[in-house]
Amino acid sequence: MLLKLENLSSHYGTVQALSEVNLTVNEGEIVTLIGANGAGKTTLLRVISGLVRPSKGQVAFADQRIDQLPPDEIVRMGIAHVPEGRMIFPAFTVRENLLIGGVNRLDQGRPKEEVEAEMQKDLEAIFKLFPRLEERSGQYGWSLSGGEQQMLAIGRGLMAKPKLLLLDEPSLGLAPFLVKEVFSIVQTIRDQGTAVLLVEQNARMALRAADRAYVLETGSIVVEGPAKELLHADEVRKAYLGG
Amino acid sequence: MNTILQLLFSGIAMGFVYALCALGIVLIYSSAGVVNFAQGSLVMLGAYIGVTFLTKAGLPVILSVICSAIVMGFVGVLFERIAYYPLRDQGSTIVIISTIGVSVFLNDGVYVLWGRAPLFFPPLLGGPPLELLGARVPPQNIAIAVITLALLLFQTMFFKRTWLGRKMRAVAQDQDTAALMGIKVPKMIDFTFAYSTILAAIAGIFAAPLFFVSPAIAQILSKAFASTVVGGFGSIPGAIIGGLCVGVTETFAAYYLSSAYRDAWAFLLLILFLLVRPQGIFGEIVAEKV
Ligand SMILES: Nc1ncnc2c1ncn2[C@@H]1O[C@H](COP(=O)(O)OP(=O)(O)O)[C@@H](O)[C@H]1O
Ligand SMILES: [Mg+2]
Repeated sequence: MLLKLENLSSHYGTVQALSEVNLTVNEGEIVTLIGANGAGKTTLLRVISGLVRPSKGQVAFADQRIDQLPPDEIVRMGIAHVPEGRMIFPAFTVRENLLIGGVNRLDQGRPKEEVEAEMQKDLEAIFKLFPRLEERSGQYGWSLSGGEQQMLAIGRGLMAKPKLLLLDEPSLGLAPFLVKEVFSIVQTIRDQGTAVLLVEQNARMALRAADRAYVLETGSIVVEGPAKELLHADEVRKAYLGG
Repeated sequence: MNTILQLLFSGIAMGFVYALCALGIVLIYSSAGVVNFAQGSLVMLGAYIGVTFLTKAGLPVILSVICSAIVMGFVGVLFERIAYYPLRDQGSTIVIISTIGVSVFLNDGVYVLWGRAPLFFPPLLGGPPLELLGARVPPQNIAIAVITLALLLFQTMFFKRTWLGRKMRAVAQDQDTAALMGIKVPKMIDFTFAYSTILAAIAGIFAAPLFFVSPAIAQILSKAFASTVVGGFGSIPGAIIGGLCVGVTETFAAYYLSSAYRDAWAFLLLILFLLVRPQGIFGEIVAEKV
């Protein structure tokens, strides 16, 4: 098991955002977490990556507790988080955005030249996956379109060489053909050996792309199971797939 | 014509001093999100520490500058740990008040260590004035311009080309996302405070021979604020151009209009900008912000 959340709760002041959440992600799978706006999906990802501390419960990654570690150590262990809203660095070029995604590798005591050469190779692999980014590699982050920013955010996450990729609503605000492209890339990433925890409001597309799924409602998991089964389960269809 | 050039050159030298102070304010603001009201007092402290190395310890000018810069780098980290880090989650008003507290403490504290009498700071470079396009320029002003330009060049390369520079720029753009890249955000903020305080030290040593070393130097803060607004708040090129504008404007106005109101001219310029172009000279260019 790669990631394991046990009885995880989280609060903002007195507001409870997560209550007693149990969730696992195994190697080689796409797990999707669906739920309405305000259900607590983003909070869950921020707890995993160390930006928010849980008030109760545990997070374990590769059999090690990580819930008290700072975000930079969690990245180094192999979790990359592609945040909601892409959060591209606006004053960095596309290339600089990608390189900064791999910056954690420099703090691991290896020779700088070796790491830089390795990052150069990974940069080319990412340009293969997203040819559009190569065309724009000298452009500033702020000048990209929404779709390009999303590709860049995913590429930047991959530059960390993660074992687990956390994606927060990658399809948000994208045209339908781009949504399709994003989900197909998520599957490619899985096939290349990186597990994915995919947070989505676009339940139909997410359930089609994923292996397993969880439904989050006001901070609690209410349904879980194989994604294809949830696609046909009545309670999910009514609430999230429009009947 | 000669007078105009003469005024221009001395305005530029003054402007570089304002620019260095303004730059420190802008760097801390982008990185930590805090307007540092102690920056002027840090400039003043830099002047006191500089004069100590120069006249009390008897070091040569260059060594005094380097030693002061090193000491002030540590002062910057200490300042961050006391005035910013423990309060960072309390909102920016609280942190601003704490920086004001530090500035009051420093402005009075220097009396305890260095006494009440203003200290004399010899010119950075001696010798007769140099002829430049028919104007006579004190060597000191040339030293100020050359050192500042070299520093800005170094800074540009550092932020563009080095990993540490990129990490600091990432934190300045978005702390949370920088953390998600594996960047140690608190450490980068430490570095930013250290570097900004080193800039303050250099500004202090430049200002010291133009005035005497006394708490009055801390008043450079208001000129530096005016510079950041004129240049566009938050912009690095803006801080530099803004500093030069303020320095040149006040030098000309003091000569042609009234030197009794020397300090008022910077504010007139500030108010003019707030009315006509509140975003400042560089206010619209997002990419230049960091
Ligand atoms: N920084 C915050 N401070 C206070 N409350 C927050 C904060 N972020 C989120 N919340 C609250 O926590 C709940 C879950 O939010 P979030 O995790 O963003 O949900 P989702 O990503 O599913 O839309 C919501 O009620 C939201 O208002
Ligand atoms: Mg969300």
